[in-house]
Amino acid sequence: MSSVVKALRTFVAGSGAIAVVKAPPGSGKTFTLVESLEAGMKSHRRIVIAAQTNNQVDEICQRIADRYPERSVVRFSGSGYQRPADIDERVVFIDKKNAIPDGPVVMVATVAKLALSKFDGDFDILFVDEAWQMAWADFLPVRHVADRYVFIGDPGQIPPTVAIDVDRWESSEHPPHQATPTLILENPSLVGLRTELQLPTCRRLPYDSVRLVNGFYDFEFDSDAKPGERFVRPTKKATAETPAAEGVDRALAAMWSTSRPTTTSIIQMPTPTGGLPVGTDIELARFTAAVVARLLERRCEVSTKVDEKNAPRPLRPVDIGVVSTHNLMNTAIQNELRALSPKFASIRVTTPERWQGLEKPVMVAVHPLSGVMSPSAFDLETGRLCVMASRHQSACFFVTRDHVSATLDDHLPLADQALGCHDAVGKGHALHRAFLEYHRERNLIV
Amino acid sequence: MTNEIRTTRRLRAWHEGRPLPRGEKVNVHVGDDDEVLCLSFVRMGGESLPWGVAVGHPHQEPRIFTVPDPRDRDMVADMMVEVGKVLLEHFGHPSFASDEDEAMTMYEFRQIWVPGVSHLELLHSIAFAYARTAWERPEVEVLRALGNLANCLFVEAQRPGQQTVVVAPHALTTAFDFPSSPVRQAHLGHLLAWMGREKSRESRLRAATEAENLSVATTLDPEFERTRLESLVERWNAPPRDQRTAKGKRVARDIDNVVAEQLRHRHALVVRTIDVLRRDTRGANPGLAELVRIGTTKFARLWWDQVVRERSANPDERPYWPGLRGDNNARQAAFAYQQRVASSRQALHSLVHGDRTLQEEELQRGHGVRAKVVAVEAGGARWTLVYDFPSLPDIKVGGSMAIAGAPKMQVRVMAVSNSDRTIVVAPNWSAPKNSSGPLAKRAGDPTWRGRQLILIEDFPVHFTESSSYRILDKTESGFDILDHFRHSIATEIVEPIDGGDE
Repeated sequence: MSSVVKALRTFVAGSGAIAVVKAPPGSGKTFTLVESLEAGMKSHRRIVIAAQTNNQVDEICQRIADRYPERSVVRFSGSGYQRPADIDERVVFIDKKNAIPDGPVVMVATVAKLALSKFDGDFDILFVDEAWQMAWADFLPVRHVADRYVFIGDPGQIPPTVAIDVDRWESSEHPPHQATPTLILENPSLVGLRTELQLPTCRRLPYDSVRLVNGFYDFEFDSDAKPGERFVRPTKKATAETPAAEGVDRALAAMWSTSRPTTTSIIQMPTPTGGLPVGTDIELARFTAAVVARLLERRCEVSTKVDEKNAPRPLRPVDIGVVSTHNLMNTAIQNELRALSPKFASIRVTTPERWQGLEKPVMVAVHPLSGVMSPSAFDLETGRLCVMASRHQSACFFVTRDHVSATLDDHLPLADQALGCHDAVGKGHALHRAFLEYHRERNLIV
Repeated sequence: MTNEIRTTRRLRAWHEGRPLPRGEKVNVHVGDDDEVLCLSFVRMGGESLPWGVAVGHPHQEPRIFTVPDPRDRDMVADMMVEVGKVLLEHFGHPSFASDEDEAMTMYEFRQIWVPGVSHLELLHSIAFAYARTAWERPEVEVLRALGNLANCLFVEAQRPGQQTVVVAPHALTTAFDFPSSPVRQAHLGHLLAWMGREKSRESRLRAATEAENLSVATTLDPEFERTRLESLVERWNAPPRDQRTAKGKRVARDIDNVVAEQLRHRHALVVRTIDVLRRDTRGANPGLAELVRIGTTKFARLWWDQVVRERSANPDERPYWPGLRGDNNARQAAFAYQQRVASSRQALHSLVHGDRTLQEEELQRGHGVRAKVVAVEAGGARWTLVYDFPSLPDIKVGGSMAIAGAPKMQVRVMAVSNSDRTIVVAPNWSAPKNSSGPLAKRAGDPTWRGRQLILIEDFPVHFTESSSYRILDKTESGFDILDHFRHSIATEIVEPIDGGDE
């Protein structure tokens, strides 16, 4: 049992007010949450777990049912919500507050569902999964569900979605649009009230990718994988007849140019002299699809864990994921993939928001600044880049137009944030630069 | 609207050489003349309060207020007392009706139009100067009331979908796509020149460029201010500095003439904007009526109710005026944030069903599907649809969607398959919804099969509204994050919340 699980169990069984658990990608957030419930169950607590989406809630229910086969789990859902066919029968679905059992219980619900029901300390502890996606304004309506809280999530990833102008609250002491754990951790008055924990090890990513992704975080974490343990390797030679094929070949060669393979690279295509297209960059979408096709054409094999290091398995279309920040770009990539082969229909192509919590052996990512000639604060926010760079188990190939480095050089942020606020845009700019520099230093930009 | 759509439309407008209508309908509410007050400011460079103000209903001679030197805060305050009386009467402040019979007994819809964003920002400066002033001077209560009104108008202007404060260039760019860069589209004169009678793109562009030479912001063109006003102001300030002398009056009149001319120019542009939108043959989006109704209630809650409470002798009914620097009260900030999220969703919900262009924009964003009903379960409990656009809709299982044009006909998404482009939905009605026109059929009606529909994502606005009120329903002060964590041991809340956060 990890020291974090132990510490969290002690917290759950005790009387502390707030615990915040920082978890890097693929470090076992849900595992830690589920394991720590044991202390609550033993001490007969009433426990409620809040997650952001129905899918996350169902997954947590299933994980609890698997881990504690002797217990039932209450799933508090909307009235029209349909029970998933494959969920364990010990998960009891209820949609009315008065159906919540008395006494010790473990209940799971979405944040939205809890916010719509009136609670007043009905539970002992509220766990919030993916807590960095929960804005302060979303926490306040559920704060009366319990008196004690455990926030667990990934601080490096995409911040809560903000669809409105938030200038009015930029310099507030408690900006309602900011992530709840961020506000709690920044509040000096809470030092004595909070327990701060960090999950120490990323299990998903290859060794060198952990070093790269760690740059997005303000705390250190380790890699479960050893150097050279995870990789993608071509087994077939084939003449490169397109720029994309040539790019993939050069990227693979660069990744295998050292004694231990590296697992990320950036494949560039030229920025047209007449400027980029106004709409979706169809040429880049075609290029991205061709990168996927080339990886399969070279009959790559992958190692995703220690057992596979000496017996890598063949890469299949379903082992590949594609991510880009825009839906229109994703649509274009999906169309191009389908045009190349019907077998590519199984390749998941979607936005970083929808990739959160998921993983694939190999990821192909469209760099979020590709085609962005004047990066805005939104563009320079690094949560999306961090998600894109942390979904793979074996390798990640970024594709981009070749202007990104020059664009970052030309657009230094103004640091025009409100007085007293962090220069988040400047930090984003620096992290984007560091991301490129990491690859440049290792000759991984081709 | 995404940047791509915006850029494409701008290029199309450039190709056509004229502004092109944006949307199937006009999505800005233009009130009747008696509901609308046009408000324009001019200020001296470097000053934060007005040099002059033009205020008046459209198609009536505006009332012009000016001072000889806007650096004299007494004179400016005297002027703003008079401006305040006009504005407060327009918005129905119970203390400022021209006669008692005309005083509003409940808040009614009122609108102000300003020529640009800088005029809106000046409302914020007025609020800063007067809302909390402790100045002991005659009619200071008018200044305070004006400050509070200005602050509430400034706050309301940021609420998505509101129709109370209209920034004229925003109204025009909501209704038309202009063939010029976004920065230039902030200039009202530039926009109206593009809409002029010139025939060719070149002549329109020339007119628009020429119009830009005349400032419509709150500040004057610096060269103009230097050459036309600087020496006059110096003369006015030269000893003996007395407006009562014939010389002083003459100089004050000269200054007034110059500033008034600038104010009239701004006022006229706003009135022209109103006329352009009223004459538009597309007509107003029917959903605007709902936004006006909601906006009236929201502004009443924000401003009118507080005014009424201010007059109450009961100390428990003290008004809650919004903070001038933002909401420092954590609960108030979170409440206001959730309210704005709800307003944003409400604005889309109200307008999208009345405008097919907005529906197309939603589809392009992935917030809906164009689909054909391929199966209707007996009783209409489930429909299966196959969509052909967009290829990757961003819709969620468990989410709610509405049939475009029939907002009350909603379905819940039960399953989505991007690989075979099918979605399964559960209609939320069984009997025909009579308000839905030709679509008024029961969910189980077999004629739905084969029908092409547009389904638009429909966020449950009332859920967000309800959860926002959940933020307010406790006795913590909300000033400090600790308030909640120690509330279980607190015996008494010492910090009152109803005094605002200033």
